[in-house]
Amino acid sequence: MNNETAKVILSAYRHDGADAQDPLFTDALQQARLDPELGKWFEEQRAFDQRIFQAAQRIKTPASLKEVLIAVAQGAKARPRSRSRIPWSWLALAAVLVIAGLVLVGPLGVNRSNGENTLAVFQQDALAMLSGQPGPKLDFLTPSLPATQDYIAKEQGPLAPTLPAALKGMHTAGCLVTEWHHYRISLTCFLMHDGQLVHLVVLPKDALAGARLPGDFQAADGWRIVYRERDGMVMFWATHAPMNEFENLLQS
Amino acid sequence: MIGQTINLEAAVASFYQPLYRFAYSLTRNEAEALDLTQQTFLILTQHVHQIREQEKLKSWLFTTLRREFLKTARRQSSYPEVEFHPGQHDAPSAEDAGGTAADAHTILQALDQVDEIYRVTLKLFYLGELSYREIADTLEVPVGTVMSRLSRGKEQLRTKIAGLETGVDPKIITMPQRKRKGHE
Repeated sequence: MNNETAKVILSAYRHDGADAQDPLFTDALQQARLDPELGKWFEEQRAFDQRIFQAAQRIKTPASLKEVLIAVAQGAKARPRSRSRIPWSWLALAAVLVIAGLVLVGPLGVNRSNGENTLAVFQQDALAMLSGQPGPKLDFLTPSLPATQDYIAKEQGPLAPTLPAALKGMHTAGCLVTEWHHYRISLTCFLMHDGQLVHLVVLPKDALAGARLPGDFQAADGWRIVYRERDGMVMFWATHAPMNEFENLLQS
Repeated sequence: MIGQTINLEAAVASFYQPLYRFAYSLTRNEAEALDLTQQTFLILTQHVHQIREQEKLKSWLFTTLRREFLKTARRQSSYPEVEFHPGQHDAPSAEDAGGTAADAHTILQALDQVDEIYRVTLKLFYLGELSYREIADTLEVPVGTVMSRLSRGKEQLRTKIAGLETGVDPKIITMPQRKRKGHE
Protein backbone atom coordinates (compact mmCIF):
# COMPACT_ATOMS: atom_id res chain seq x y z
CA MET A 1 0.00 0.00 0.00
CA ASN A 2 1.45 3.37 -0.93
CA ASN A 3 0.98 6.46 1.19
CA GLU A 4 -1.66 7.98 -1.07
CA THR A 5 -3.86 4.91 -0.72
CA ALA A 6 -3.27 4.90 3.03
CA LYS A 7 -4.34 8.55 3.21
CA VAL A 8 -7.61 7.81 1.43
CA ILE A 9 -8.36 5.01 3.87
CA LEU A 10 -7.30 6.99 6.93
CA SER A 11 -9.54 9.89 5.86
CA ALA A 12 -12.46 7.72 6.92
CA TYR A 13 -10.97 7.00 10.35
CA ARG A 14 -12.78 8.85 13.12
CA HIS A 15 -10.59 10.97 15.37
CA ASP A 16 -11.97 9.49 18.59
CA GLY A 17 -10.76 5.99 17.82
CA ALA A 18 -14.25 4.58 17.25
CA ASP A 19 -12.88 2.66 14.27
CA ALA A 20 -9.81 1.29 16.04
CA GLN A 21 -11.07 -2.30 15.89
CA ASP A 22 -12.15 -2.15 12.26
CA PRO A 23 -9.78 -4.43 10.29
CA LEU A 24 -10.11 -2.26 7.22
CA PHE A 25 -7.86 0.30 8.91
CA THR A 26 -5.27 -2.10 10.36
CA ASP A 27 -2.71 -1.92 7.59
CA ALA A 28 -3.05 1.81 7.03
CA LEU A 29 -2.70 2.52 10.75
CA GLN A 30 0.38 0.31 10.93
CA GLN A 31 1.89 2.17 7.99
CA ALA A 32 1.22 5.51 9.68
CA ARG A 33 3.09 4.27 12.74
CA LEU A 34 6.10 3.25 10.67
CA ASP A 35 6.26 6.04 8.10
CA PRO A 36 7.11 9.44 9.65
CA GLU A 37 5.68 11.43 6.75
CA LEU A 38 2.40 9.55 6.76
CA GLY A 39 2.36 9.63 10.56
CA LYS A 40 2.69 13.42 10.57
CA TRP A 41 -0.04 13.77 7.97
CA PHE A 42 -2.31 11.49 10.01
CA GLU A 43 -1.79 13.48 13.21
CA GLU A 44 -2.66 16.70 11.40
CA GLN A 45 -5.71 15.05 9.89
CA ARG A 46 -6.93 13.89 13.30
CA ALA A 47 -6.38 17.36 14.78
CA PHE A 48 -8.37 18.87 11.92
CA ASP A 49 -11.17 16.33 12.37
CA GLN A 50 -11.24 16.99 16.09
CA ARG A 51 -11.63 20.71 15.49
CA ILE A 52 -14.55 20.16 13.13
CA PHE A 53 -16.22 17.66 15.45
CA GLN A 54 -15.87 20.02 18.40
CA ALA A 55 -17.34 22.89 16.41
CA ALA A 56 -20.25 20.66 15.38
CA GLN A 57 -20.89 19.74 19.00
CA ARG A 58 -21.38 23.43 19.75
CA ILE A 59 -24.43 23.60 17.52
CA LYS A 60 -27.00 23.55 20.27
CA THR A 61 -30.07 21.38 20.06
CA PRO A 62 -33.20 23.10 21.42
CA ALA A 63 -33.80 22.17 25.04
CA SER A 64 -37.30 20.84 24.44
CA LEU A 65 -36.49 18.67 21.44
CA LYS A 66 -35.64 15.50 23.32
CA GLU A 67 -38.80 15.66 25.46
CA VAL A 68 -40.99 16.26 22.43
CA LEU A 69 -39.42 13.35 20.56
CA ILE A 70 -39.76 11.07 23.58
CA ALA A 71 -43.44 12.05 23.68
CA VAL A 72 -43.68 11.13 20.00
CA ALA A 73 -42.17 7.72 20.78
CA GLN A 74 -44.39 7.19 23.83
CA GLY A 75 -47.44 8.27 21.88
CA ALA A 76 -46.66 5.65 19.27
CA LYS A 77 -46.46 2.96 21.95
CA ALA A 78 -49.70 4.08 23.57
CA ARG A 79 -51.62 3.99 20.30
CA PRO A 80 -50.19 1.25 18.10
CA ARG A 81 -51.40 1.55 14.54
CA SER A 82 -53.60 -1.25 13.38
CA ARG A 83 -52.14 -3.02 10.40
CA SER A 84 -55.19 -5.14 9.70
CA ARG A 85 -56.96 -4.50 6.43
CA ILE A 86 -60.71 -4.06 6.14
CA PRO A 87 -62.31 -6.48 3.64
CA TRP A 88 -63.77 -4.82 0.53
CA SER A 89 -67.20 -6.33 1.26
CA TRP A 90 -67.28 -4.44 4.57
CA LEU A 91 -66.31 -1.22 2.80
CA ALA A 92 -69.14 -1.70 0.31
CA LEU A 93 -71.61 -2.24 3.16
CA ALA A 94 -70.25 0.83 4.94
CA ALA A 95 -70.69 2.90 1.77
CA VAL A 96 -74.33 1.81 1.52
CA LEU A 97 -74.92 2.77 5.15
CA VAL A 98 -73.27 6.16 4.68
CA ILE A 99 -75.43 6.92 1.64
CA ALA A 100 -78.53 5.80 3.51
CA GLY A 101 -77.51 7.96 6.42
CA LEU A 102 -77.08 10.99 4.20
CA VAL A 103 -80.55 10.45 2.73
CA LEU A 104 -82.12 10.19 6.17
CA VAL A 105 -80.11 12.77 8.06
CA GLY A 106 -79.59 15.26 5.22
CA PRO A 107 -82.93 17.04 5.62
CA LEU A 108 -82.31 17.38 9.36
CA GLY A 109 -78.96 18.99 8.62
CA VAL A 110 -80.63 21.59 6.42
CA ASN A 111 -82.79 22.59 9.36
CA ARG A 112 -79.87 23.14 11.69
CA SER A 113 -79.05 26.76 12.51
CA ASN A 114 -76.10 28.47 10.91
CA GLY A 115 -74.34 28.42 14.29
CA GLU A 116 -74.81 24.70 14.72
CA ASN A 117 -73.52 24.03 11.24
CA THR A 118 -70.53 26.26 11.84
CA LEU A 119 -69.83 24.50 15.11
CA ALA A 120 -70.00 21.11 13.41
CA VAL A 121 -67.62 22.25 10.69
CA PHE A 122 -65.25 23.72 13.26
CA GLN A 123 -65.22 20.53 15.31
CA GLN A 124 -64.55 18.44 12.22
CA ASP A 125 -61.73 20.75 11.10
CA ALA A 126 -60.23 20.97 14.58
CA LEU A 127 -60.18 17.20 15.04
CA ALA A 128 -58.67 16.77 11.57
CA MET A 129 -55.93 19.22 12.56
CA LEU A 130 -55.27 17.26 15.74
CA SER A 131 -55.29 13.90 14.05
CA GLY A 132 -51.77 13.94 12.62
CA GLN A 133 -49.94 10.90 13.96
CA PRO A 134 -48.87 10.93 16.70
CA GLY A 135 -49.84 14.58 17.09
CA PRO A 136 -50.46 17.75 15.11
CA LYS A 137 -47.62 19.56 13.42
CA LEU A 138 -46.65 22.45 15.65
CA ASP A 139 -44.94 25.71 14.76
CA PHE A 140 -43.16 26.10 18.07
CA LEU A 141 -41.91 23.22 20.19
CA THR A 142 -41.34 23.89 23.86
CA PRO A 143 -42.08 22.23 27.20
CA SER A 144 -42.82 25.64 28.75
CA LEU A 145 -46.41 26.86 28.99
CA PRO A 146 -45.34 30.51 29.45
CA ALA A 147 -43.19 30.18 26.32
CA THR A 148 -46.20 28.95 24.31
CA GLN A 149 -48.23 31.88 25.64
CA ASP A 150 -45.51 34.33 24.62
CA TYR A 151 -45.36 32.77 21.17
CA ILE A 152 -49.13 32.88 20.71
CA ALA A 153 -49.25 36.50 21.84
CA LYS A 154 -46.40 37.39 19.50
CA GLU A 155 -48.20 35.71 16.60
CA GLN A 156 -51.41 37.56 17.55
CA GLY A 157 -53.27 34.37 18.31
CA PRO A 158 -56.02 34.12 20.92
CA LEU A 159 -54.96 33.15 24.43
CA ALA A 160 -57.08 31.11 26.80
CA PRO A 161 -58.61 33.50 29.37
CA THR A 162 -58.27 30.82 32.02
CA LEU A 163 -56.67 27.42 32.46
CA PRO A 164 -57.42 24.57 34.88
CA ALA A 165 -54.98 24.54 37.79
CA ALA A 166 -53.55 21.11 36.97
CA LEU A 167 -52.55 22.20 33.49
CA LYS A 168 -50.56 25.19 34.66
CA GLY A 169 -47.89 22.88 36.05
CA MET A 170 -47.75 20.54 33.08
CA HIS A 171 -45.21 20.48 30.30
CA THR A 172 -46.35 21.34 26.82
CA ALA A 173 -45.29 19.83 23.52
CA GLY A 174 -45.65 23.19 21.82
CA CYS A 175 -48.16 25.36 20.04
CA LEU A 176 -49.43 26.65 16.75
CA VAL A 177 -51.18 29.80 15.56
CA THR A 178 -53.17 29.57 12.37
CA GLU A 179 -56.39 30.79 10.76
CA TRP A 180 -59.81 29.19 10.54
CA HIS A 181 -62.48 30.88 8.43
CA HIS A 182 -60.48 34.14 8.59
CA TYR A 183 -60.22 34.05 12.40
CA ARG A 184 -56.93 33.61 14.22
CA ILE A 185 -56.96 30.47 16.33
CA SER A 186 -54.32 28.96 18.59
CA LEU A 187 -53.50 25.39 19.52
CA THR A 188 -51.55 24.40 22.61
CA CYS A 189 -50.65 20.77 23.27
CA PHE A 190 -50.12 19.67 26.85
CA LEU A 191 -48.12 16.57 27.73
CA MET A 192 -49.59 14.24 30.32
CA HIS A 193 -47.26 12.07 32.41
CA ASP A 194 -47.99 8.97 30.35
CA GLY A 195 -47.13 10.75 27.10
CA GLN A 196 -50.73 11.38 26.08
CA LEU A 197 -51.50 14.79 24.67
CA VAL A 198 -54.29 17.13 25.69
CA HIS A 199 -55.05 19.73 23.04
CA LEU A 200 -56.51 23.16 23.57
CA VAL A 201 -57.84 25.13 20.61
CA VAL A 202 -58.78 28.74 21.37
CA LEU A 203 -60.81 30.93 19.04
CA PRO A 204 -63.10 33.95 19.32
CA LYS A 205 -66.74 33.15 20.01
CA ASP A 206 -67.70 35.21 16.94
CA ALA A 207 -66.03 32.64 14.71
CA LEU A 208 -68.76 30.14 15.57
CA ALA A 209 -71.65 32.34 14.41
CA GLY A 210 -73.46 32.34 17.73
CA ALA A 211 -73.53 28.56 18.10
CA ARG A 212 -74.77 27.23 21.41
CA LEU A 213 -71.88 25.29 22.89
CA PRO A 214 -72.47 21.87 24.44
CA GLY A 215 -71.24 22.04 28.02
CA ASP A 216 -70.78 18.36 28.73
CA PHE A 217 -67.85 16.05 28.09
CA GLN A 218 -68.42 14.03 24.95
CA ALA A 219 -66.87 11.27 22.87
CA ALA A 220 -66.54 12.10 19.16
CA ASP A 221 -64.64 10.30 16.41
CA GLY A 222 -62.44 8.50 18.91
CA TRP A 223 -61.72 11.71 20.83
CA ARG A 224 -62.87 12.94 24.21
CA ILE A 225 -63.89 16.58 23.82
CA VAL A 226 -65.42 19.44 25.72
CA TYR A 227 -66.16 23.10 25.03
CA ARG A 228 -65.68 25.94 27.48
CA GLU A 229 -66.41 29.63 26.98
CA ARG A 230 -65.19 32.71 28.76
CA ASP A 231 -64.63 36.40 28.00
CA GLY A 232 -65.68 36.05 24.37
CA MET A 233 -63.31 33.14 23.75
CA VAL A 234 -64.16 29.51 23.06
CA MET A 235 -61.83 26.85 24.40
CA PHE A 236 -62.14 23.51 22.66
CA TRP A 237 -60.40 20.67 24.51
CA ALA A 238 -59.65 17.28 22.98
CA THR A 239 -57.65 14.22 23.95
CA HIS A 240 -57.33 10.48 23.48
CA ALA A 241 -56.82 10.02 27.23
CA PRO A 242 -59.51 8.14 29.16
CA MET A 243 -62.61 10.19 29.93
CA ASN A 244 -62.17 10.11 33.72
CA GLU A 245 -58.59 11.42 33.45
CA PHE A 246 -59.74 14.11 31.05
CA GLU A 247 -62.55 15.22 33.34
CA ASN A 248 -60.32 15.24 36.42
CA LEU A 249 -57.74 17.31 34.60
CA LEU A 250 -60.10 20.01 33.38
CA GLN A 251 -62.14 20.17 36.56
CA SER A 252 -59.07 20.76 38.71
CA MET B 1 -32.41 -8.37 15.75
CA ILE B 2 -35.99 -7.84 14.65
CA GLY B 3 -37.79 -4.52 14.46
CA GLN B 4 -39.98 -4.98 17.50
CA THR B 5 -36.95 -4.90 19.79
CA ILE B 6 -35.99 -1.37 18.76
CA ASN B 7 -36.47 0.88 21.74
CA LEU B 8 -37.84 4.15 20.40
CA GLU B 9 -36.95 6.18 23.46
CA ALA B 10 -33.39 4.88 23.40
CA ALA B 11 -33.24 5.71 19.70
CA VAL B 12 -34.31 9.27 20.47
CA ALA B 13 -31.71 9.60 23.23
CA SER B 14 -28.91 8.22 21.05
CA PHE B 15 -29.56 9.97 17.78
CA TYR B 16 -31.62 13.13 18.19
CA GLN B 17 -28.63 15.44 18.55
CA PRO B 18 -26.61 14.33 15.50
CA LEU B 19 -29.85 14.16 13.50
CA TYR B 20 -30.79 17.69 14.47
CA ARG B 21 -27.30 18.99 13.69
CA PHE B 22 -27.35 17.30 10.32
CA ALA B 23 -30.83 18.73 9.66
CA TYR B 24 -29.64 22.17 10.70
CA SER B 25 -26.66 21.94 8.36
CA LEU B 26 -29.05 21.14 5.51
CA THR B 27 -31.68 23.77 6.22
CA ARG B 28 -29.71 26.41 8.12
CA ASN B 29 -33.00 27.17 9.81
CA GLU B 30 -33.85 26.12 13.34
CA ALA B 31 -37.60 25.69 12.81
CA GLU B 32 -37.11 23.60 9.69
CA ALA B 33 -34.42 21.50 11.35
CA LEU B 34 -36.83 20.83 14.23
CA ASP B 35 -39.56 19.84 11.81
CA LEU B 36 -37.26 17.51 9.92
CA THR B 37 -36.03 15.83 13.09
CA GLN B 38 -39.55 15.44 14.43
CA GLN B 39 -40.80 14.14 11.10
CA THR B 40 -37.97 11.60 10.96
CA PHE B 41 -38.88 10.13 14.35
CA LEU B 42 -42.54 10.23 13.45
CA ILE B 43 -41.80 8.12 10.38
CA LEU B 44 -39.71 5.81 12.56
CA THR B 45 -42.68 5.19 14.87
CA GLN B 46 -44.75 4.23 11.84
CA HIS B 47 -42.16 1.99 10.19
CA VAL B 48 -40.19 0.60 13.11
CA HIS B 49 -41.41 -2.90 12.33
CA GLN B 50 -39.69 -2.70 8.93
CA ILE B 51 -36.23 -2.21 10.38
CA ARG B 52 -34.73 -5.67 10.60
CA GLU B 53 -31.37 -4.88 12.16
CA GLN B 54 -30.68 -2.58 15.09
CA GLU B 55 -27.29 -1.79 13.54
CA LYS B 56 -29.02 -0.25 10.52
CA LEU B 57 -31.20 2.07 12.56
CA LYS B 58 -28.81 5.02 12.51
CA SER B 59 -28.34 4.87 8.74
CA TRP B 60 -32.10 4.45 8.33
CA LEU B 61 -32.77 7.61 10.34
CA PHE B 62 -30.30 9.69 8.35
CA THR B 63 -31.55 8.31 5.05
CA THR B 64 -35.10 9.20 6.06
CA LEU B 65 -34.20 12.68 7.23
CA ARG B 66 -32.29 13.43 4.03
CA ARG B 67 -35.15 12.06 1.92
CA GLU B 68 -37.64 14.26 3.76
CA PHE B 69 -35.38 17.27 3.28
CA LEU B 70 -35.11 16.59 -0.46
CA LYS B 71 -38.89 16.19 -0.70
CA THR B 72 -39.41 19.54 0.99
CA ALA B 73 -36.77 21.19 -1.16
CA ARG B 74 -38.44 19.87 -4.31
CA ARG B 75 -41.81 21.18 -3.16
CA GLN B 76 -40.37 24.65 -2.85
CA SER B 77 -40.21 25.69 -6.47
CA SER B 78 -37.68 28.43 -5.95
CA TYR B 79 -34.78 28.17 -3.60
CA PRO B 80 -32.95 31.47 -3.95
CA GLU B 81 -29.87 32.32 -2.00
CA VAL B 82 -30.08 35.34 0.28
CA GLU B 83 -27.58 37.01 2.49
CA PHE B 84 -27.69 36.07 6.11
CA HIS B 85 -27.59 38.89 8.59
CA PRO B 86 -27.48 37.99 12.27
CA GLY B 87 -30.48 39.47 14.03
CA GLN B 88 -32.71 39.34 10.97
CA HIS B 89 -32.75 35.61 10.33
CA ASP B 90 -32.71 32.68 12.69
CA ALA B 91 -29.93 33.01 15.16
CA PRO B 92 -27.72 30.06 14.20
CA SER B 93 -27.92 27.45 16.90
CA ALA B 94 -24.40 27.69 18.10
CA GLU B 95 -23.30 28.69 21.56
CA ASP B 96 -22.90 32.40 21.77
CA ALA B 97 -19.40 32.50 23.11
CA GLY B 98 -17.35 34.76 20.92
CA GLY B 99 -14.77 32.81 18.95
CA THR B 100 -16.44 29.52 19.76
CA ALA B 101 -19.65 30.42 17.97
CA ALA B 102 -17.74 31.97 15.10
CA ASP B 103 -15.84 28.72 14.69
CA ALA B 104 -19.07 26.73 14.34
CA HIS B 105 -20.40 29.27 11.86
CA THR B 106 -17.23 29.24 9.82
CA ILE B 107 -17.30 25.50 9.58
CA LEU B 108 -20.96 25.35 8.59
CA GLN B 109 -20.29 28.03 6.02
CA ALA B 110 -17.26 26.22 4.70
CA LEU B 111 -19.16 22.95 4.48
CA ASP B 112 -21.75 24.67 2.31
CA GLN B 113 -19.02 25.85 -0.03
CA VAL B 114 -17.54 22.42 -0.62
CA ASP B 115 -18.50 20.78 -3.93
CA GLU B 116 -21.93 19.22 -3.69
CA ILE B 117 -20.63 15.72 -4.39
CA TYR B 118 -18.57 15.79 -1.18
CA ARG B 119 -20.82 17.98 0.95
CA VAL B 120 -23.38 15.49 2.22
CA THR B 121 -20.70 12.88 2.91
CA LEU B 122 -18.78 15.38 5.03
CA LYS B 123 -21.90 16.51 6.88
CA LEU B 124 -22.85 12.94 7.68
CA PHE B 125 -19.30 12.30 8.92
CA TYR B 126 -18.85 15.41 11.05
CA LEU B 127 -22.38 16.43 12.08
CA GLY B 128 -24.13 13.06 11.90
CA GLU B 129 -21.18 11.25 13.48
CA LEU B 130 -21.63 8.36 11.07
CA SER B 131 -18.93 5.83 10.26
CA TYR B 132 -17.89 5.33 6.65
CA ARG B 133 -20.00 2.17 6.50
CA GLU B 134 -23.07 3.99 7.84
CA ILE B 135 -22.52 6.77 5.31
CA ALA B 136 -22.32 4.18 2.54
CA ASP B 137 -25.62 2.68 3.73
CA THR B 138 -27.26 6.09 4.01
CA LEU B 139 -26.22 7.28 0.57
CA GLU B 140 -26.40 3.83 -0.99
CA VAL B 141 -22.92 4.09 -2.49
CA PRO B 142 -19.92 1.74 -2.18
CA VAL B 143 -17.58 2.06 0.80
CA GLY B 144 -14.72 2.98 -1.52
CA THR B 145 -16.71 5.91 -2.87
CA VAL B 146 -17.30 7.19 0.65
CA MET B 147 -13.58 7.03 1.44
CA SER B 148 -12.68 8.81 -1.74
CA ARG B 149 -15.27 11.53 -1.11
CA LEU B 150 -14.11 11.99 2.46
CA SER B 151 -10.51 12.27 1.38
CA ARG B 152 -11.10 14.83 -1.34
CA GLY B 153 -13.85 16.59 0.56
CA LYS B 154 -11.64 17.14 3.59
CA GLU B 155 -8.97 18.71 1.40
CA GLN B 156 -11.54 21.12 0.01
CA LEU B 157 -12.96 21.84 3.44
CA ARG B 158 -9.55 22.68 4.80
CA THR B 159 -8.99 25.14 1.96
CA LYS B 160 -12.43 26.74 2.38
CA ILE B 161 -11.97 27.22 6.11
CA ALA B 162 -8.56 28.78 5.58
CA GLY B 163 -10.06 31.12 2.99
CA LEU B 164 -12.90 32.15 5.27
CA GLU B 165 -10.60 32.75 8.21
CA THR B 166 -8.23 34.93 6.26
CA GLY B 167 -10.38 37.01 3.94
CA VAL B 168 -14.13 36.86 3.67
CA ASP B 169 -16.50 38.71 6.01
CA PRO B 170 -17.68 35.88 8.29
CA LYS B 171 -20.92 37.69 9.10
CA ILE B 172 -22.35 37.10 5.64
CA ILE B 173 -23.53 33.57 5.06
CA THR B 174 -25.52 32.34 2.10
CA MET B 175 -28.41 30.20 3.11
CA PRO B 176 -31.68 28.93 1.66
CA GLN B 177 -34.47 31.52 1.91
CA ARG B 178 -36.86 30.76 4.72
CA LYS B 179 -40.31 29.59 3.76
CA ARG B 180 -41.77 29.13 7.21
CA LYS B 181 -41.89 31.37 10.17
CA GLY B 182 -39.81 30.24 13.11
CA HIS B 183 -39.63 31.46 16.65
CA GLU B 184 -36.68 33.74 16.98
